[in-house]
Amino acid sequence: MAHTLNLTLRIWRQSDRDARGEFRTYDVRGISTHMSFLEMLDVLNEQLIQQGEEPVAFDHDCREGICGQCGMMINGQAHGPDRETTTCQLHMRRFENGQTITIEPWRARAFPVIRDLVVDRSAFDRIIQAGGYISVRTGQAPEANTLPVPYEDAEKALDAAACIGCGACVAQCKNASAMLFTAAKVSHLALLPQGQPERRRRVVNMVARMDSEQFGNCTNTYECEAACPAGISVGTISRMNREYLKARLAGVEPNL
Amino acid sequence: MNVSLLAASTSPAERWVYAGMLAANLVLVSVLVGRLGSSLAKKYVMSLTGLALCGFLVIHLIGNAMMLFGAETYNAYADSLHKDEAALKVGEFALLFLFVAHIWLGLVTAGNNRAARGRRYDEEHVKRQDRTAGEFLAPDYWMLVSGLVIGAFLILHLWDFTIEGRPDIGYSDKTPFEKAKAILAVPWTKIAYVVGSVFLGWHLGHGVASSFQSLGIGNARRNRAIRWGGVAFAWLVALGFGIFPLISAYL
Repeated sequence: MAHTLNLTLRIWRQSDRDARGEFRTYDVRGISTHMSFLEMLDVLNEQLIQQGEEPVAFDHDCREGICGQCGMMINGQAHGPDRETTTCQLHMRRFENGQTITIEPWRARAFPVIRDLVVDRSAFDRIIQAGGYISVRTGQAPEANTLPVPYEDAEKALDAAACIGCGACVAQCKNASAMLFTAAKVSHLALLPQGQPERRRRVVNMVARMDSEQFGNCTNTYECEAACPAGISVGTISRMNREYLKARLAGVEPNL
Repeated sequence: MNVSLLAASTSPAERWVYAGMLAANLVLVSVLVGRLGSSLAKKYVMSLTGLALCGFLVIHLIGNAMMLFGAETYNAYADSLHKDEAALKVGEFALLFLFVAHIWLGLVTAGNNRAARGRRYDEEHVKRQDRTAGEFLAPDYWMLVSGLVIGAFLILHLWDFTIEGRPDIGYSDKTPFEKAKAILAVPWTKIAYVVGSVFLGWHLGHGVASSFQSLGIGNARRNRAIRWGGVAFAWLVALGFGIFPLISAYL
């Protein structure tokens, strides 16, 4: 196996939200197989800057798979070919010498492209604002054992809380649906005692916000689960479907 | 030849009743869909109508199976359905409602989903590793297509058996058993009915299990059983309905 790669990159370039955008092709040489995908893009950008061209804009922050900032379609797959992996954790050893790699931003009407590979994911923030919070009494920190949480529930809640909000579920979904993201947030809080006061209002408002942001419907194709770097299960979607049905049957109306 | 396209035994008055039923259902469903506030509510209705239609398929298949016991049994069954004509019409109205609501919501959500993506990807591949054949034959990627084919087949099927509008079948002098045999004896019809059954099975290969998920009934423990149960039901429907056009000549 070669330790360096020469690659052809087909990258979506778009100067701003309203620009038309197009694919442009770049060659990079001598990419170490130990590099991450983002480091490979750093090499490309160094090269572009030296040539006096605009570097490719992409979101990134922690580069260790927990911030949820990075994310792009790599050869038609959200975060590339690996399971439970963000783009920053994807290694160049997964690619072959001489390969052409197509890199696109997330595509969803709710995630407009701002520039190149950067999309506006504030729709997710607005879904969180609609109900992803709990009410707590202020004052001293409560005694740790006042709210016992069964082990099973704590595990399930934390599995859902692992969502990093990267948007891969929306990007990979054939309908650009945000069900997995919203369901992860709803599940996380519905499973914990702290989340009970707003439990019904939360699911109704978050779903209403999700719909108004014009994400697609869920077809239960489960590509979201396969693309999720945090391993969120589609069982959360089933739970949200249940929670929403119960809340609406109890007469709870959305109130955004 | 003096056969008009509509020369048949179902009376013109009865056809007007069916036309009225369809019109009433279109109005009813358009009002209902307008009142469904959320994407989840649409999926609930989609699931419930789909599952109810699966229930109808079971009854329909049992009816078909009467053919295996000979003409007398089948004719007696067909006559028993028409014993209370008013109740039958109510049942048909309800059934038509299920179809209209299911198809209408299918079209509405498909439109939403297309719009939600915006610009299409230049390159798109599945990430699920259990998709050995990619998305090529996976029913969940083809629900609209399979649904439209089933819809077209349904129109043909109702035209053949309910409206009795086929000019090449002399309806007036036939018992229900003879009618079914005569229709299924036409080569292109035989093929159309097999194709319709196969598409129906393909559609249900995703639809049944998906309904349970949309209604929130699934969970990690039950999902395996639900998925395989759905696929088994889909095979039963495809084979069960698909076999009759092939064996009708020998009944």
